[in-house]
Amino acid sequence: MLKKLIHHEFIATGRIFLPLYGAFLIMSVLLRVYMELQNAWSFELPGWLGVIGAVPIILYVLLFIAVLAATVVVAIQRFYKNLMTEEGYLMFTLPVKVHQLINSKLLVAVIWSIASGLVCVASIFILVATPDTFITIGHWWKIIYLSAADQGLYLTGWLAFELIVSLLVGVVGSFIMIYAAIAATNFNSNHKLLMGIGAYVAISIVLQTVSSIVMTVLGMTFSQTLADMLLDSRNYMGFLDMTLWVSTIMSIITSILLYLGTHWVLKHKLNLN
Amino acid sequence: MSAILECRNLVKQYGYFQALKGVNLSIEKGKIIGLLGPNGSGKSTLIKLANGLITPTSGEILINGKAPGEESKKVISYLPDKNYLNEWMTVEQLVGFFHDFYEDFDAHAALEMMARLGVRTGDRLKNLSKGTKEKVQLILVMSRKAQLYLLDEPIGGVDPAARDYILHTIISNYNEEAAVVISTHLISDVESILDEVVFISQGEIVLTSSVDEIREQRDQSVDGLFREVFKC
Repeated sequence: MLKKLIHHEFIATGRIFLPLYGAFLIMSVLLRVYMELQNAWSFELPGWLGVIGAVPIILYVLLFIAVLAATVVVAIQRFYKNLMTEEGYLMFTLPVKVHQLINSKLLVAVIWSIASGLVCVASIFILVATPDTFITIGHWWKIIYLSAADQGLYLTGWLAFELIVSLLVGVVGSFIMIYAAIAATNFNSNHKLLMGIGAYVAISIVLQTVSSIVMTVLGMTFSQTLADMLLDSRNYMGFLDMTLWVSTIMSIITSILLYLGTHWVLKHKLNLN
Repeated sequence: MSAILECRNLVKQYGYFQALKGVNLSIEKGKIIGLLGPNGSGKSTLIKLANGLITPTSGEILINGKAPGEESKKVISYLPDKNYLNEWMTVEQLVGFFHDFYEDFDAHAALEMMARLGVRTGDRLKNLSKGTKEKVQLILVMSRKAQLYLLDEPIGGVDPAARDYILHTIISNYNEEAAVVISTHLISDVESILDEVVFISQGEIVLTSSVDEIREQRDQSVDGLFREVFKC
């Protein structure tokens, strides 16, 4: 059933993302051509016509923002409209488990986020790539790598892995937080929007507070070790490792709690208007 | 025979408003039941509770002896009183959707009924008229071989000719193993197909009776009795 839900979720969201990606990539190509022509002929539009010259760039930036915003907006819209409004009458009467409904939405939202990121990278590449781009990147990478190593920071594959994991955990966590806030709208049928926003703000404040307390307590408890790490042995890698994992694990724990809360509300406290 | 749907002291409260005030009700298979009451009497609330779309404030509602859940959703075919299908989907896609999720859904029968009522299956739902949308919803719901059909105002928005066809569809699609609950206030239209009636008023069941009983013992039509009970 999860497979089927995911399949239909992709159909419902793909009709928004795919045309958007297409338009964005085509715009990237057009802007590149426009810039190349401008360079080749070195023309400049006179006077107020210069404003027209900015139009391709403005369009490009707007589409760039749209691609990034869509990942969040569509995730909110799919969870709220598809589950909490009239469409919820269909979704919640399907013979599926509540966690399957949540997982299908979550997984698809995360996949589109990754896709949007890749499309943005591809677009930048279309805009600026030249035959020796990779050589230039390799050149700069070497400089950055060496100067970081000089300071005791080694940009290894392991570090890249850690960063990717913590980024992924962050993305998943932010969607779960949105879902939890939307689930909270079931507690007030008259002021759903207010309830949702209020819940989101409340969750944010609680998470911020708890994480600062935990960080402070951990910092004070291990102050000697930390001082050793940073000042005496200059073990920056160890420090970076530790902070990344502590914050990632904390994020995983809060995400699990929020997920369980969302699941509980949708299973036991559902109140569709 | 065991009850397919049972309510025990079922209460649903919205803020200060009590939509259901301790309802006790038992519905058995093999019958077509009219859930009849004026607007706002609690008909939709009762049906939504049976589908697990809202949670009881107190008391319980049981489908085949169990609270609403994945199992009950397999055996209930529900027609809500609103447009609940994705507007951007075509009729054909919706048939595919139902086919994917409900094992008891007969896609062939659904498409045949769509054709019979002149519904173009390539059209997106948002391009259909209000009446046609209702027909699509009802056909999808009635194309399942469910144990319990919960139809909330199934004939409100369609013309009398389609009404007859729909009622005919309901009778011919249902079987001895199923119960059909039709909530409506258009009593004269559905009266001919009902076996039993449940009158509900201001969140309370005021009368349950078989239609034959009403006709023989009271010498009244259901419509007539309804007008008497709910006289303003």
